[in-house]
Amino acid sequence: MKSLGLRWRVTITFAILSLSVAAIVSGSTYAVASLYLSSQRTDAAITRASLDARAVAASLRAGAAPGESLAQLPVVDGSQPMLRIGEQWFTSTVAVPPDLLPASLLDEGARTGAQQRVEIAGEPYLIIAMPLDTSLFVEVFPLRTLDATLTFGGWGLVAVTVLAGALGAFLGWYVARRLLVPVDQLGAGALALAEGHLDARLPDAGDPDLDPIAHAFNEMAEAVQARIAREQRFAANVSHELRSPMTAISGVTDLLEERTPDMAPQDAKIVDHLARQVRRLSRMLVDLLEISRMGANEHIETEPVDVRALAAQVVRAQGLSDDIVIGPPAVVSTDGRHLERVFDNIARNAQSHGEGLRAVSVADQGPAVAVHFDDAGPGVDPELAERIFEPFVRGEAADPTSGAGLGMAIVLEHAQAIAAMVSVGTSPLGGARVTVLIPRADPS
Amino acid sequence: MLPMMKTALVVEDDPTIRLVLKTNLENDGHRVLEAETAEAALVTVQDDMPDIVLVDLRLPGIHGFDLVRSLRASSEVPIIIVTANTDSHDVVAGLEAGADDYVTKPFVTKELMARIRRQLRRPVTETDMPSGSILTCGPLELHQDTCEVRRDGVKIPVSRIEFDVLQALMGAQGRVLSRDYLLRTVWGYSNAGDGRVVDNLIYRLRGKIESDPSRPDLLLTIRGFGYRMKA
Repeated sequence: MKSLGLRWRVTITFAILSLSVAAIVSGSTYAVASLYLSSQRTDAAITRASLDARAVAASLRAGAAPGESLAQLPVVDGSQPMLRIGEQWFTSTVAVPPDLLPASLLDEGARTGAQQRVEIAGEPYLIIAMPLDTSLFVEVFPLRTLDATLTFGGWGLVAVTVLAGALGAFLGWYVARRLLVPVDQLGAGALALAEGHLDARLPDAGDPDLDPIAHAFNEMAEAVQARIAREQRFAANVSHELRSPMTAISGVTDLLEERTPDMAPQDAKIVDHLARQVRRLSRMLVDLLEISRMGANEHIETEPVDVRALAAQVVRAQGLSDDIVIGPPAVVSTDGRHLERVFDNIARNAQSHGEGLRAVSVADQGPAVAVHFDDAGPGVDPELAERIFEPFVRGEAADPTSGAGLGMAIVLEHAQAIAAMVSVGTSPLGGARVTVLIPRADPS
Repeated sequence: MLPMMKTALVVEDDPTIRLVLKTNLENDGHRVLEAETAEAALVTVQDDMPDIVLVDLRLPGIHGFDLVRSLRASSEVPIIIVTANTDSHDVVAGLEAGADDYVTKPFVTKELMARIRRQLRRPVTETDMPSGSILTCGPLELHQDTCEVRRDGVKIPVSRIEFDVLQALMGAQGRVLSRDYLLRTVWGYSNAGDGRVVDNLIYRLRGKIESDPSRPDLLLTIRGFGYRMKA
């Protein structure tokens, strides 16, 4: 699995950090608050219950009936006093029936006095039981209000914690974004450089920590640009300096060849050999210069191109009938000059090394258009198929004087310029099949 | 019928290439003027206006572009660039300066001679054109017998190749002609050529026949396919 990006890692770290801090603070706050409030309530209840018990005892001693003595007690916060004399219960209200009180609590209360938090019918109560002469005094205090307060406060703290986590995440994301701005710029600059925009430079951020990176990048880009310019000048000079004598030699040779009918047969034969080798050299030179020129900032101009019409044009240029081009017209947006060089070199290759171009089929493949060139040759050895795009690689059967094996290298160079893919396989007709896959949309 | 003798000017600093071009042109029956530099070429054309000029772009002294530009400023003479510089910027600059065609070195003699012959064609005579036939398109008239182009009756000076392109397009009566088709039929290409040669000539032609060349309404571009005249 691909690991998370720096931006996400920083964001998540910030979020986790602030969430934990907030959780610890909130948790301890809640614990302290609830402990404090509960003990406050318990203390108050015990005090209340003791006072009530003393009042009931005094009232009973004065001869009042048990119900009467209970009724005279003040009701505070819904508290409910009860009295057990023998097996009989007396109570002023019936909010909590005595038979729902836990027996263990009552037993302990009758001996030494006891208190317990109890849930009765889903409601929280604090029950305090204490011996009163021979009878048992019990007072029930509802804890509902306290619990509601604590619950409310607890949720408030949870909300604050979540909010703190979100805030931390946002802060992390923001900080990461700010920190990554120069990294993003560096990436964009490098990409622009790689895409051939040799004048791509990074702006000065005015930050002593970041500017050295920008300067280093700009210096590198400067060096790359200068080097490429130097190489281009060199290639252009080589091209010019080689083309001129080549033109002179082949022109003179052509003139000489025209005179062969008037020559002695032996001389004519020599001139014939000369002419053939000169043509071979000339062809090789042109092909080599074409390969060396490619890639060096080759200008791409896209326009709608009908692939089928272009294939037919190339087939006609080989002196073949364009009846061998089949398939629907397919318009792509590409640089027609590069595509023409791709098709032309494949067709010429099929003509000179594949015993003739047999069929060209155009097929619509959704986002791309496929063009298959099938020849009538013996097919291409699978081992050779992978290397056939390297310069100077030829089939074994190829006539050594027929070409330098640069055709498919030129095909690859031009195909790459327009983001087309070229592969070699076996034709259903038996020969070799060269397939060109041309993207429909702009290569840019 | 013997081809009419024409005068060709070869501007080339390499003596061997000059010899090759001169010999081939003379074999075709033409008179050949030679110039090693653009300066010499400009002097030569003052005395003796050639029927075609072959220009090497990289010349000592004045650059080939400037020679093409100054020749084009005063005449409709066909200009073919013969260059060792295949850089697409140079080719485009040469065409924009006013060249009608270009050939890269090393050229195939036969191919170059075929292109030169096409540029040097005799004016159309009654023998190969229906006499007096006039093609029209909007305000434009093309007189096939006299090789004249008129807009609203006013004669427009066009070069031979411009006339041929216009004739092909107007003769097609609104059908689209591909750049490849024009290169083969008008320029005499036998192999696939560079469509920019056509584009550039169309651009020049529009400057002559359109009322607003930046918004043509007679000679229309069908992007990716070619050109056609307004039906």
